[in-house]
Amino acid sequence: MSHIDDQRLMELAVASTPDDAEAAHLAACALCAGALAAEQGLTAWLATVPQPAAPEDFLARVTSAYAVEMSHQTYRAPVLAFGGIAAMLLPLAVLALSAWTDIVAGVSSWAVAVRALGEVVLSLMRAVSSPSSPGLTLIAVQAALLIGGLSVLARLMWMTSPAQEAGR
Amino acid sequence: MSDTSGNAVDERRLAERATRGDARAFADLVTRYQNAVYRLCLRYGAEEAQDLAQETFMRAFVHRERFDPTRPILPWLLTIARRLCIDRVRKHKPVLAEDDRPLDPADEHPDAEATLATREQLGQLKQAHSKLADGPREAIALYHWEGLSYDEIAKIMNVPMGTVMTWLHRGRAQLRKALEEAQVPVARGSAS
Repeated sequence: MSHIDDQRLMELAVASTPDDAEAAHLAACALCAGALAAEQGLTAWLATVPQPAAPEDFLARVTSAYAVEMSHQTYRAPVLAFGGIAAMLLPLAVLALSAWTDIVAGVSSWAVAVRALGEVVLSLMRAVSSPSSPGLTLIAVQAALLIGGLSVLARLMWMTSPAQEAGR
Repeated sequence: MSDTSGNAVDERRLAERATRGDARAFADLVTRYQNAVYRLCLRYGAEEAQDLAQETFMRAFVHRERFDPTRPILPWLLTIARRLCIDRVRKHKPVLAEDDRPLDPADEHPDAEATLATREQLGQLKQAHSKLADGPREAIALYHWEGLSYDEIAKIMNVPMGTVMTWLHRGRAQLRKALEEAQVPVARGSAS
């Protein structure tokens, strides 16, 4: 048998046991036996290297961060659900507001403006909504949501303004 | 190598409970693996090791749906830790590239007391290890000190298993040479 290669010597030193041929060779070959002894010695040295432990307060730090993360997750779920529903309802709100201002406020300049805005948003969405331009559709939807939301907010602010309250 | 069937089942249960919000299970997992994760982070940059180790556990929790419950947790945690460390090293140079802190008796395993090795000789070995290239250094640490298999190390380091074996062999040869140069009797280094 030829000499045992270095890779195999390392395996023998770490975990494996030599087969019969290897054992016979190691018994007869001082070179391989010496190399194996060196490998075994290194393995033993490595086993004695002291290993640092995590700091004592590490567990407390991590569990504290975990508690914060858990509370965020508990908080996030209803907020996201509410946000999603609100976003879906916003375009409807714009349309409803347009119709409502027509009925209640007659042909005031505000009602006309809101209605025109709603129609512009809808026209824009129709114009860009094609299968070949999904990115534009997304932008249009986002723009509609933004404009719709701003319209609702503006309307609410106008309705609750001191001048409006005084006029009632 | 790091996994036995009973331990794996226990580990899986702990992981399931932790992901459902059981703080005690999460703490058990941290207690079990904090040293291995912390040590890996320490090897990449001593100053930030604690922060990186903490971030590792939090990332593991946040991305818990990516964990394969049929596999052991430690290699997954170490994979996350290693990626975090590499990202951090790319952004900032490590403050302490080599772990050349003096050996603290409090760090030592109780078994180590039985060894004939002197603190000086162990310090030389530790220093030689810290000077190895990244691959061999990490392969030796994960194999000899964390008890991982070739396969687990290959997955953590994202290399073929043959590369891990080459790194181990090359790293050990360099360590042996360093010990011989320091006139440490390698072949008689039996600690047990």
